[in-house]
Amino acid sequence: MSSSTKFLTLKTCDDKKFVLDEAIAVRSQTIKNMVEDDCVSNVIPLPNVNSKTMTKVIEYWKKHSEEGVSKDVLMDFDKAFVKVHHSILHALILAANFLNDKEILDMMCQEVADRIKGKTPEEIRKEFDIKNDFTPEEEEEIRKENAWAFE
Amino acid sequence: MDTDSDRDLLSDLPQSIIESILVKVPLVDAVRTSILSRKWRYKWAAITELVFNDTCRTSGHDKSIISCNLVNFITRCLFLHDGPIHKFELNTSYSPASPDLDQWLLFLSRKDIKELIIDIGEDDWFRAPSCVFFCPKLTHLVLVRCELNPPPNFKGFLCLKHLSLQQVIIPPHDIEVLISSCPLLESLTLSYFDSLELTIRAPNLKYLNLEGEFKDIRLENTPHLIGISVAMYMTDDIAEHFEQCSGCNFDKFLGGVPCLERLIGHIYFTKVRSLSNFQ
Repeated sequence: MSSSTKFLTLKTCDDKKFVLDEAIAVRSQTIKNMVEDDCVSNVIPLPNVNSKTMTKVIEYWKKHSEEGVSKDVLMDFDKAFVKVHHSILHALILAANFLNDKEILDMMCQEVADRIKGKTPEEIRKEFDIKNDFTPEEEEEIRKENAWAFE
Repeated sequence: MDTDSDRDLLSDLPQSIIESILVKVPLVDAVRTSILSRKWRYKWAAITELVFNDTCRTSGHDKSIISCNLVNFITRCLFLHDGPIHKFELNTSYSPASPDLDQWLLFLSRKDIKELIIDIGEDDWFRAPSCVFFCPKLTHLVLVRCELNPPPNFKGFLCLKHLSLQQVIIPPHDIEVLISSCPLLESLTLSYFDSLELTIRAPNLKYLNLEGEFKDIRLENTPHLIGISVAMYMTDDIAEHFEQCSGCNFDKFLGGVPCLERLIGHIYFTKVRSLSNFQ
């Protein structure tokens, strides 16, 4: 490893520290801006991200920064990466949004979209633990309002 | 311990993220999320990108019923929509009646539309209503099988960066005026034009795609062009025309493009037709 490798320390909201190669950490536009604006002291606080989520994000960053990884391997990695409970998808979406990592954000939104596509309302509610809080009358009203889409 | 594991978290995501999710599903699925819960009732209605295609049509085989359902779908969708619409794409083989399309376009012209893509029908041409020329925020315009007549008070598309006209009927003078009244134009595609003689003046143009029968093309004031792709179909009389003044054409064509990096050319001679008597 070259002597010029710089390391950054990221601190998550639950006070866990992650030491990471700067070249990898700048996949986050938010961190990149901080580095470029010279606002980086010893530790970069990430008040909106917990350590469990950050571990996933770093796993993704490292895999996608490795040299000589074939496209197929990356595709398999991504496929496995998004196969998680919706609560983890949600945490990753918020983390990617805060870190301003469009690649992860886009991939996670695509995964949520894929879980909505072609499903019945009941299946979607089950997938995401959404509670149907409409009264039967209200539900009837909405079905009427949007009958053109439900036919 | 994972306290989040059976809570509804998705519903409270910021609207901008909800929108990034909903634009990735077919519009009909996006509308159907309205029935999930109270929080979801109008989330779909604020998405700023609307893409209508044959996945929106409801089941059936009768062409007129499908077409009618699609028109109903689009009209309802626009009527219930809430807020600006930045992208409207209509891509279908079932052409709606002209009054419907005209009303949608008028509606969109008042909604800050930035990207407009209309590709309808297989044999029908539609006439673009004048309101299309008064969408001041347009950055992206794609029209297929359309008749265009810029009105006399057309002031140009001041933000337009991408223009693609395919099988468009437009008076030759008007197309030159149209192109030169888009000062920011970066990419221009003209496909399936007949015997077009054209001088292109576009100071910011980077990519030019031409496909069809062109008699004469001149590039004037296109200092930033970096990619040109030309596919010419030549009928006998156009080929003759080229033979008569060959040499100077290419000079005129490529003389004004100092930054050109990529030139792709295909020329198809339809003289082959004269050989078509063999059996």
